Amino acid sequence: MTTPPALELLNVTKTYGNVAALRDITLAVRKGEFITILGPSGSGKSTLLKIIGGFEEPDKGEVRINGQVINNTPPFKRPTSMVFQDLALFPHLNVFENIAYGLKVRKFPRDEIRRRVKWAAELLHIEKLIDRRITQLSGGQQQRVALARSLVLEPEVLLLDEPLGPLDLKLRREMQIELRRVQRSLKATWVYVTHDHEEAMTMSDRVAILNEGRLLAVGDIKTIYEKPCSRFVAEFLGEANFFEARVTQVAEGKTLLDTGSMLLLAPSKPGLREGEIIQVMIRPEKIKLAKREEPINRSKGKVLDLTYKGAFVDVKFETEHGYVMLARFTSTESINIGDTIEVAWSAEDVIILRCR
Amino acid sequence: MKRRLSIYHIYAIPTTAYLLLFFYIPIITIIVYSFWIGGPFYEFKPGFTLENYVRFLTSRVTQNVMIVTNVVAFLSFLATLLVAYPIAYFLARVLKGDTGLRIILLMLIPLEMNYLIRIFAWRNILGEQGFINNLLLTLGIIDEPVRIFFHSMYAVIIVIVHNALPYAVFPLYITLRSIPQNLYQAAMDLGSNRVSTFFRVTLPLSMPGIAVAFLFIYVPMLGEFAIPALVGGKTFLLGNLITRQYLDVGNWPYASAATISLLIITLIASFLVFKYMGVRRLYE
Amino acid sequence: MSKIKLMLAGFTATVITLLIYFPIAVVVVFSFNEGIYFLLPLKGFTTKWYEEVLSNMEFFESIVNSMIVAAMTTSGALLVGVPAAFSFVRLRRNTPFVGFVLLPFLVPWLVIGVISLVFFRTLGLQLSLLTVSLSHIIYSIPLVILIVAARVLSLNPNYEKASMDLGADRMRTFINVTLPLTYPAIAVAALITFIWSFDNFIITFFTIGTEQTFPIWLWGSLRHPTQVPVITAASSLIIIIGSVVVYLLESYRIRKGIGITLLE
Repeated sequence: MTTPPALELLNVTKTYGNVAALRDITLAVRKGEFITILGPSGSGKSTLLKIIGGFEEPDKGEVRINGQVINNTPPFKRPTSMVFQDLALFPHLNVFENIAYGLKVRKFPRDEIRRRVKWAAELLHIEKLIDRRITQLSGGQQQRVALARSLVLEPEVLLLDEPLGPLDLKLRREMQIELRRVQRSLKATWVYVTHDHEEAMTMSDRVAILNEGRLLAVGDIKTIYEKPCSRFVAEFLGEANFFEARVTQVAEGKTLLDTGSMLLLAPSKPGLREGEIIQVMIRPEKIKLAKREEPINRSKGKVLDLTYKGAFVDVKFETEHGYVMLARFTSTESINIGDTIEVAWSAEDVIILRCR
Repeated sequence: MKRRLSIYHIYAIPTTAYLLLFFYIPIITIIVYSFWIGGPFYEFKPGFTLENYVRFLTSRVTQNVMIVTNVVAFLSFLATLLVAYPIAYFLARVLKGDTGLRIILLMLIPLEMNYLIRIFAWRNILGEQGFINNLLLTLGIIDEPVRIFFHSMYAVIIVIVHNALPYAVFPLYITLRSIPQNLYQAAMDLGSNRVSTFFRVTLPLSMPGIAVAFLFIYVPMLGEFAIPALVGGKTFLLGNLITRQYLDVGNWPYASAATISLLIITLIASFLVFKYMGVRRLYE
Repeated sequence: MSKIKLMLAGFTATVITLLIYFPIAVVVVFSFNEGIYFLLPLKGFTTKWYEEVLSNMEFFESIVNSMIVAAMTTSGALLVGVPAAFSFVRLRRNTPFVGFVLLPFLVPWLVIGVISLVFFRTLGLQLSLLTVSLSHIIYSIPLVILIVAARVLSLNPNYEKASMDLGADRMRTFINVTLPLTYPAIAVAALITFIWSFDNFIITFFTIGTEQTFPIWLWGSLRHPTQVPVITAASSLIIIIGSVVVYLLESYRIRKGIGITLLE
């Protein structure tokens, strides 16, 4: 037998009153993995973290750590540790005492406490702040202390509840890289919760997307971004052009679709029947400036609006088929509002939105 | 840089003037009296002597009074705290929303009325002819009235706990309410069980509330004279000593020396509380 | 956990009933009792003690005197203290100023009483209801400042800025914006000062002349055992009227969220 996953959720369900916060969540996290639970506010992601940490009990389902069921184990006996959204650093203790807290209450010998606190402080570059009061620290320094406080306990699973929320963008980028560095160097299992998909992309090995208490997709972020299986997931991770289309022909691993005014060729998906109406998506950066003879996977349109985004420019244009589409080109292209552009895309970039 | 006299300095003038005239100058007045040559029946003469202080600080009788006063004040504070803390904890941590405040209101209603009425009530409950003795006699549990309740230090403490309870519950409630819920969760997450969370997180963070309660209970007790006079029996506190010296004996210089000593103790206690127990941090 | 919660709830309920309400209930119940002492069993219902109290001139005079003292104290303390509350908010980090203003709040009442007594007597002032008020104001000033300043502190400073931005000068801003927003706290401060001054015994004891306020009358009567039923009835009257007043005041205070600076 292989070793059990570091963290395993089996059919976890939780309702508040008659509002379902989590519905039948099943998820396994490997040892050493950095997984991000991504979802909009109110999606149930914080509840999920609280259930893993032991602050809430699921109505149904099991939580296992290293194969052992830990339902009904109080938080102070679980091998998990949480970095709270507002950090929850103890205001009456200084940096050292905060980091040492968990070791002290577990009655570690004094030398061991000092050794571990020193180790964590060095890992997070806060050795010089060790005697400061919490109120004398900047936001970024407080994050590091909160992280150190959990890391000294060497938890089997570290839970992070949007800890970078209050930081400004630059500091946030810095901390994201820092977090990733620490996690890699420790080969520890981290579960990170956020609503920011860019944050998820920067840091995680895998992403789990949660909406209205349901797990919509789990996998590496590149796959989910490029081949989402639902419109929600596709929109949540970035901009896209959506079309409703009828399946007109299924053959040789390709599917021909008709939106009513435009013909699309897409890779086939099992289970498609001719005549059914489906949703498809094309990411704006997959659209190229090109002329194509055959009337498939191409369009022509008048530019409505331009938005510069550094190296890229987002171009909104109205097509001859009556759609408003978005394309992303390198800013070196000279396009002006009112110009007519011709665009095309390849068949593998037309994604059929269907979950198995 | 020129310092400008703003409108806010002008607003402070009436208060400053009033307190100077009716509070600080009178204090200076009794400081002056405290160095005069003392004598009973208002026969005291201007002069400069440390006699009054020496007598107050070295006499067996006054030393005893000081000890008893501080013991009673401290026991009252401790007893009040022991009763008030669980109540404040319940109101702040168990009850949701404003229910706690409403219950504090319920405690305040009978207590914002004259304290002599309440002393009177306790006298009739704890006294020799009082309700409890009467009840116990009727039920045949005792044969003759128990005196321990009344005319004793214990009666003084009971009355003070009754008086001071809301003044302890309220600040404790406020500080306990202001502790973020997350800190308790963090403590548990890091391995503290309920008992350890209480002693390592809840109690240290509620110190400001305890400090305010101390100021509201201990300090006033140092100058209390009505409660011991009415229910305390032979209990004779600093307040009784000062009152007697001013009004009955008429030895102002000696009484003033005692008052100044009381004032100094008060100042030291307040200073320590503000400096070390974190009251200041509350409104920064 | 629910066991602990239950114990805490029980403890709270017991303390409130036995320690706080029981003594007061006993007084009210015995005020309708025929007998002179608080002896069981009750001897029968009567309202004669109330009739006696209501025809007692000393009691009436003491109530009137207490009202006069409380009214003088309240107006004096507001007049002097309210402007200072605004200074207090700006100067609250100025430790000497804060200490200067708050010291009367921290010293035992006995100290205020005796220093006033000595001061007035040294000046040769006749002790009267006026001297009582003058000494009461010493303690009332910080009380008023703490209550009003807490309210001013909690106000959004942008209201004042907005008013000035819209063209009102400092004075107009103060009268049209700041004062109306502060008004509830001033009302609460006034009522608390009034009740406190009405009830105060310890300071009054030292600074009163030949008149009696209600607490002084009570103190005098407590020494006469025959007066017990009269005090019982008088106390019950005050308990009932006082409860209504305090209840109204406190619910207003909670509704408006008015606290005391020291605690926030």
